[in-house]
Amino acid sequence: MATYKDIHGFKIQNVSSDPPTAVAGDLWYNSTSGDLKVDTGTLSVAWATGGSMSRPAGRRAMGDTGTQTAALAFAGRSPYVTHTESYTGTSWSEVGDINTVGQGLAGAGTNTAALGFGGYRPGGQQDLTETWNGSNWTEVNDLNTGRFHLAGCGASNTACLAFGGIPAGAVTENWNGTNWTEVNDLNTPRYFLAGAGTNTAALGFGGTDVVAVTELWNGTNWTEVNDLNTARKALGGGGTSTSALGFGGQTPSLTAITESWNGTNWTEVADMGTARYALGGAGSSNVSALAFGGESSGAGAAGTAATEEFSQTGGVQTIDAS
Amino acid sequence: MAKTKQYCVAENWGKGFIEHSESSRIKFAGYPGNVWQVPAHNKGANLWINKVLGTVKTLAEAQTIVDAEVTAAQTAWDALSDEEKANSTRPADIILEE
Repeated sequence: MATYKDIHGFKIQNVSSDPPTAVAGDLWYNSTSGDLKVDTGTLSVAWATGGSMSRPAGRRAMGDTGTQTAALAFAGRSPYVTHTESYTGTSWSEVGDINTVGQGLAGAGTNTAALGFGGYRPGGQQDLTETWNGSNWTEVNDLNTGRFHLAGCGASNTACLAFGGIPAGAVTENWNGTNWTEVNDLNTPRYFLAGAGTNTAALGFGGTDVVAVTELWNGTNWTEVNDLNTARKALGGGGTSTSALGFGGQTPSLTAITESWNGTNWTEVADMGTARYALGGAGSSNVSALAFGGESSGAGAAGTAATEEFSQTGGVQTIDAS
Repeated sequence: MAKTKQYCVAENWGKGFIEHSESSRIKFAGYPGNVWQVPAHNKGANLWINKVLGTVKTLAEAQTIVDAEVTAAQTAWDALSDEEKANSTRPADIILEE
């Protein structure tokens, strides 16, 4: 078998840190991290279209969780639906229905271990909580305070955070896998906000009445940090408390604006192709997210089925030689 | 004034309709009625329109399509119950740019 030297006439450089002047195509071994690395060209972040949601009419104000390549969408409207859809990174497929219809509910966890909670259905706000095991939804213990258009986050269906919403405003609750416990409130009561992170390190941003407020949860308290550049409500979000993305929403006009959170500041990055609000959002960081459904102009109350994937290409990549 | 944007009608088929490599070079904006706005006098935008078999529309033609879709959505919204209206926003008129 030909070696790298046979092909290129020189060996792979062994360096202790990534070369600052690398150009596209350069390859090296970083002896400090133990990684084989390549410069894949100019760094760029952008949205691309993903597989459309299974329900052709789309949906909005749904529960949402997961990552760009493994997301879950459940319930929502219009009309009220119990459908659950799972995204594989390529397409959506329908999986087991949630037990109770509702809109404006929140989700947390992964697409194989999720929690859906709160929401609204004719008659008022809900305190219902359901847990998803990858195949079925099962009703578990209720929120202490029923509400809708709240935010949620969490690493799994056994450790989640619920915050904000109507009519609770600032109320925050922690889920330990069995029960919800009320913890310290948000500083700014609001609803239609977005969330990212876990139940011990969370980020809450935006919300009604069209605010730019961002708060950071450290497992005990919320602290106000730097604002979004564009105040908005009903936006989508995903990521962690130190690397998140906020996208879409109402300013109050529909917007496609996307902002990236680096743990300290929000920076505007590439717009979505379709401006929308009350959309679903999932993601693992500020360079990997999924936007789906929501209400876009002309789609009306039924919502859109459009899905978009946010990702980064180029830059220095680690080569997986396994 | 030379136009800076062009319009086409193309149905979003999902994955691959707009690639990351296209989106990183071209600014896309989707509107009702499968109307897409991309930069005018732009080779990448023209190639994308060809790829998606888009039908190029003038600004006036695109505006007519968008208006029809928005009017239909507004009519549908007006017919909703008060409870439904309270949980959504009446679709707003859209003015496309030259």
